Amino acid sequence: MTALGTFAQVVLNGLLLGGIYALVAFGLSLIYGVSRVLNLTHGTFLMLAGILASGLYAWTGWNPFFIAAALVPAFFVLGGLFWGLFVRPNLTRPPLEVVIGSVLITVGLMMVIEDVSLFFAGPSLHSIPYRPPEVRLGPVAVGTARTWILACILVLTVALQLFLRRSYVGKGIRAITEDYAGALLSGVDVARLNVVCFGLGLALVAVAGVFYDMVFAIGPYMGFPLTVTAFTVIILGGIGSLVGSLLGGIILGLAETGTAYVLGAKWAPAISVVTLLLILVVRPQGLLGYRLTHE
Amino acid sequence: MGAGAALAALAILPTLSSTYLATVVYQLFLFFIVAQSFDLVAGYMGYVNLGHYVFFGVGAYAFCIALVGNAPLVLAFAGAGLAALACALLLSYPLFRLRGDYFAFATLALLILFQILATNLEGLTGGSNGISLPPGYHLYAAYYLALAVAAACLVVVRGLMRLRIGLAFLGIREDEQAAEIFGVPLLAHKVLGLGVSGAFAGVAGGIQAWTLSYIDPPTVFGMDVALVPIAMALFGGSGTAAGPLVGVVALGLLEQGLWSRLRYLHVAVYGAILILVGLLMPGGIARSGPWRRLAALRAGAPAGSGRAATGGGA
Amino acid sequence: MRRHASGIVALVALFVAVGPAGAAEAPKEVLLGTTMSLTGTFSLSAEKWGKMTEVFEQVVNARGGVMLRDAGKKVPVKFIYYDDKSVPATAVQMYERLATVDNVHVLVGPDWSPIGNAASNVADKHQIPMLMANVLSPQIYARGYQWVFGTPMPGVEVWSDKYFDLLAQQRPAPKTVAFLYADQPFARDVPVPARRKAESLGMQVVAFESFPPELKDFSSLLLKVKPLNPDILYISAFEEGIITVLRQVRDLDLNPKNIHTVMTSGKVIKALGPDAELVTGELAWWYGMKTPKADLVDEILRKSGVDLREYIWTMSRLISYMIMLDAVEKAGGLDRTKIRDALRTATFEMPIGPVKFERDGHAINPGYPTQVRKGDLVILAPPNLATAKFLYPSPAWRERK
Repeated sequence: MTALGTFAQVVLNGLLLGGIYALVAFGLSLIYGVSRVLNLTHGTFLMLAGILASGLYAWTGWNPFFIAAALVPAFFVLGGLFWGLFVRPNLTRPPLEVVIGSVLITVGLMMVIEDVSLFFAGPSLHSIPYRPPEVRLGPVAVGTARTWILACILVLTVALQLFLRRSYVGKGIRAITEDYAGALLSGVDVARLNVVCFGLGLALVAVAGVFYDMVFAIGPYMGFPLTVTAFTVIILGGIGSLVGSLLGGIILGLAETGTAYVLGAKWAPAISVVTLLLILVVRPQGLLGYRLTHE
Repeated sequence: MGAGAALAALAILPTLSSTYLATVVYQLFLFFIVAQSFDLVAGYMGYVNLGHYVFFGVGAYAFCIALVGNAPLVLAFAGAGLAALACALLLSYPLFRLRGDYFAFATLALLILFQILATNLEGLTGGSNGISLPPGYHLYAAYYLALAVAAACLVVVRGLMRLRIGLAFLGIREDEQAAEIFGVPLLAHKVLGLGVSGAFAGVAGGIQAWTLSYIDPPTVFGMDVALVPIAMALFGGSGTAAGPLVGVVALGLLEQGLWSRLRYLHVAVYGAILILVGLLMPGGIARSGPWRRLAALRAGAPAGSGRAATGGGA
Repeated sequence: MRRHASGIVALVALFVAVGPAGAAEAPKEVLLGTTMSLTGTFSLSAEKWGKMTEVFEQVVNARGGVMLRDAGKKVPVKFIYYDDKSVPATAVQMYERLATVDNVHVLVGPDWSPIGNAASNVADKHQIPMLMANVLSPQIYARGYQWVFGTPMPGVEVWSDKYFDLLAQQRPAPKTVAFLYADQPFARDVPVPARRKAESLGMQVVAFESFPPELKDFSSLLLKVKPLNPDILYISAFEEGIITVLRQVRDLDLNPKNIHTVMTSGKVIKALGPDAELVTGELAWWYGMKTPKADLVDEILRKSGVDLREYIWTMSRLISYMIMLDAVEKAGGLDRTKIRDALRTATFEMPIGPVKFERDGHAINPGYPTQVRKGDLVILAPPNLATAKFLYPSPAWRERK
């Protein structure tokens, strides 16, 4: 394989990895943008979805894309429940207690979900060994499953973006994200929109979980590192900006594969942390984000 | 005084009890040092340093590197504290440009970064193989050392909060801009807080490494362990005088009770209790109604008079 | 003196009341203490070991228990176990409890080097024989602890020896090997002696690359290896890494003549589906092998629902139980010093082969090479235990299915 071919392969793989990171982050972007709750359980829900999906796949053999679609309504409801049970009671407290409360609740919830998943599904790794028909661009492998996934992610991004820009609900969501006080003054129904965002957020996470399961493997404890990745992506891209999250995810994916190529594989995981710290220090609102009026 | 009696009791405990009990209490001392030093910055200054355990890990590694390099024990412990202090000072400048959630998240990311650094900088840290110390059983010496450091930590934190520095911390927590207007040198105070908090955590890390006689990156930087002391401080009541102590004792004993009785799902039960406290007593136990009433009764004031005996700027 | 008499009596009474119990009465059971990582990051390798331990207890007791020659009778076996949550500091507390509160006679386990490192201090201090499982870290055994031993998983020093021997017998024999390994304990330790073995057989090592365990994208690594066209691709990692690497090996169309992983387990097979076909690996033992006490292992695995395909570390733990009980029988009783001496000197006939501990406490047993065939595992060597012939070389990805 020529040097150009190798380079192209590395870039392409970076894009594909980044696309998955972006999908993981979309849900968090919605949730965090609207509620500003430091939700540490995000990745854990992805793990839950992945485990359910692989179980469903093993049991029914359905096409995983179909399974993803099937999980969407279930996780939408779960998102609403999550908000109602764990987030809403906390919001009316003084700010210090909100932070303490959300850390305690999300850490505790993470432990519960992990332990219960461990108990029922076992500690083994789950994966969906599904191979759609192959796609090659000349000498370059486009990782079949990952190509379809990337295509889906692009479609989802466009759909979400349209939703946020054109629909009434979407505009309300953007209003809250941009300027909470202003949105309240304008009469936006914050509570209802929170429910929608959490529902959508978890639904997106479920889809991400199924895709993740197809490309990598899921164990009960990989939720938390993924949460960290998701936060990195949305901070990088800018909170509240969906395109920003896509961009952030892709940059992160490219940075990882690029670093592995140039510096060696062992520094690849470090690049996401370094990127995050750099962005936080140099441009905290992220690439495309809004300057926050309240912290 | 009550504190003196408690100290005396803790001092004689190892001689009377099984090594099991001594080990458990010793671990609680270490948790307390980390939780209380965390709370200096989180509870009193308002900066939630989720990655506080980084200082613990840095201290552990510094201790091991020194000991393997044939440094005398005392120097190794001092080195642990100093390395963590240096780390805190270095990190202060970039970290304190951030606030609130961003600060919390950046510190969490630091934890991951340090684990990667510890794994990759093999020449210094032994990489993923970790560092192995000369074998030995040091429970009793470590117990008393940990007790001394824990007591010192408590004294230092309480002392700082009684001085004007303490008031400045509270001012930073409540309204940083106002504090600045009133002439509080913000960065100096933040650095002081983080430095003191880091140094204590570093020494605790060194002591832990000493008794484990082996550390590797996941053991001292891993997520399995890093959030536990923080959860304890929050659980007990961040920003209250008794909070971290209450949290460490409560969660520490809860954990012991759970794993010795429940074979399965004991982690889930532990997590459920965290959730319940987070929902019902989000200020932590020390701020909750029942605790205040109990404290008020002990202080002799009529219950519900509003004078909580637990101090600290709750 | 008389003034102090009551004080002395009181002290003696106190000592008798709370001090360590004397071993004067006849033993009525053998108490084994252990911890397992049932939760936490190490739990991925240890499912159902709690159940397996309980089943072990039942089955051994149903067969009569353990013979204590000095007491002249057979006594039942009892396990006291806790979940160490994969945290070394927690494990230390638990072993202290087992040693001083639960008063077990002997210790088995723990698994995994970080935990073993910490727990061995406790065993040595309290002078209780400890037979660790799945602990390979050489520094633990280099401590000079007289009371601490470790069962092999197989032994790291000879892990893939039989596999390379098998390769050397192929015509034409493979010439080049590429090693990829995860930078974590065990995964980085196996390739070192494996490399030596390969080179000693005349094979050339064209790549020896490490990667961080959490790496998601292996393209840069694999693209470095692909132009070298290695005959053998040797991957040393845990299952998650192996699954990810192998998927990308296929995506990037790397076609070595044989892919070998150090953990070709049922999980890997299930995750990869047909792509796992013809991948080779190693196991310490396999169903159908006619070795001593194989029937006991078979019964226990069946009744506890543990599938060796899924959990290849299981054997090491089971062997630690079996050897410890054997050592108790050889020692004739529950005297810890005699048990320790038995462990030090005897050879134990086990399903994985004869086990004899080196002077530093660890044992070296070989792994038996396996290959994935139609979604199941077959044993390739030695001839008297093999269940199928080694299929080599593997067809290229594009020529498959």
